[in-house]
Amino acid sequence: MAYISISLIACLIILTVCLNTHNYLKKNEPIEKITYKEHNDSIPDLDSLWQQTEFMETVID
Amino acid sequence: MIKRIILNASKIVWALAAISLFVGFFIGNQKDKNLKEQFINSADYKPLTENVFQKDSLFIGVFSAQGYGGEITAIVEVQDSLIQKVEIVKQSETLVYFEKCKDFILSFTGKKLGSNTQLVDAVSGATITSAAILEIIQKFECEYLSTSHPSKNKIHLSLSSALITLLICLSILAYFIQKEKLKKALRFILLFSSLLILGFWLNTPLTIANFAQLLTFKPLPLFSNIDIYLILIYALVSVIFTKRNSYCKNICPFGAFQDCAAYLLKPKSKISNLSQFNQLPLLLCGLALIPALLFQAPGLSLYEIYSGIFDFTLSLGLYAAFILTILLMLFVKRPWCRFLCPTGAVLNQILKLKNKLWLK
Repeated sequence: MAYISISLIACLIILTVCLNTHNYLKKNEPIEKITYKEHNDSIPDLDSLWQQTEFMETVID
Repeated sequence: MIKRIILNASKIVWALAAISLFVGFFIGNQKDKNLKEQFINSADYKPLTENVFQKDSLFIGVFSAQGYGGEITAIVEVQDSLIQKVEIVKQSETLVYFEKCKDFILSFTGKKLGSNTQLVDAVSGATITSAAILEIIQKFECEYLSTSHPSKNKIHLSLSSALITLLICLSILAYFIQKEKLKKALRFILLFSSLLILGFWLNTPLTIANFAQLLTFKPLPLFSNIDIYLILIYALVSVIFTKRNSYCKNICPFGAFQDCAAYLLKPKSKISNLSQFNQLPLLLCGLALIPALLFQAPGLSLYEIYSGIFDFTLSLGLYAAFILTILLMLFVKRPWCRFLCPTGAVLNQILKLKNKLWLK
C-alpha cells in the first residue's frame, strides 16, 4: 500500500510540474509575437458620429 | 533494482538541470530586450528614458520586478499623468495567487502618478506578487518623474521577523542542550510554534523555488522579504556549519504537521522495502528544476504540498498527493520528508557534500 502511494504521489508531482510548464508556456507566448495595442478609450470621432446620425435620420424619414 | 533505477535517473536528470541552467541564461534574458525593441524600433515611439517611450501625449513604460515565481514584466500606459492601463505581459506566478491580484492591477487605472503609491497595501495572501506589481508602478514613477525609489533599501522589520528570529534562536539552543528531556520539550515547543507561525499565519515555509531563485540569480528583493531570507540563511548555515539539518528537524511547518500526525496515528517505525525510495526526492527535485532553470521561472519548480496547504491554494493534483501523503502517515513517520521533499533533499545533499569535503 505504501509502495503504491509513493509511486502515485511521484506521478502526481511529475504531472503537476508538466502542467505548470504547459500553463506557463501557454500564457507567456514568446514576446516577439506580442504586438502591443494601445488602450483605445479615447473620445470617439464626433464628426463621424454626427454624420452617422444624420444618415440614420434620413433613412428613417 | 528500483533503487538503482532511481539513482541512475537522478544522475541524468541533474546533468540535464545543469545544462538547463546554462541554456536558460542565454534565452531567458532575451525576451525583455525583444519587447523593448518593439518600441525602440517603432517610428511612432520616441525613447524618453531607458524604459519609458513617448508617442504624442502617451507614455509607455516596460518594467520588470521579481515575483515569487519569477520575473513579472508589465507595460504601463500613462496619459496626462493618469495611469490608463497596466498590462502584465510576462509572469510565472502560481495561478491562484495571480488571480487574487487581478483587481489590484485594475485598481491602478485612473490613478494619478506620484499619488502616494507607496501607501498602497499589498494583497493579503499574495503579498510578494502584489508587491512586485506595485514595484513596477513605482519604477515607472521614478523614471518618469525622475524621483528616487521610495521603498528601496528600506528594511521591513515586523512582528513576523521577530518571531522567526526567536524560532531560530530556540532551534540553536536545542542544538546545544544535552539533557534529553529538556531537548524534547524544546523541540515540541519549536514544532508547535512553527506550525502556527510559519504554517498557518505567515505561510512562508522554505521551498525549492527559493533555491531556484538563487540559482537563476533572480532572488526576491532582500529588504521586503526579510522573513524568507532569515529562514533560508538559517537552513544553509545549519547544514554548512553543524552536523545536522536543523531546519527540517525543528522549524519546517510541514515537518511539524507530520510529527503531530505521527503522534496521533502511531505508524509502524520500520518498513524495509521503502528504503528503495530514499533517492526519490533528489530525482523529483532535479526534474522540477529543469523547466524552472530553462525558462528562468523559479515558480515552475514549486510542487511542495506544504506551499499551499496552509492557505488552501493547492492544485487538484497536489490535493490528491496530500491525501495520499496522509495515507502514508499510517505506515511511516514523516513520509513527505523521507521520500518526496525537494527542499530537504537539497539541504541533505549540501550536508553530505560538506561532510565529504570535511573528511578529506
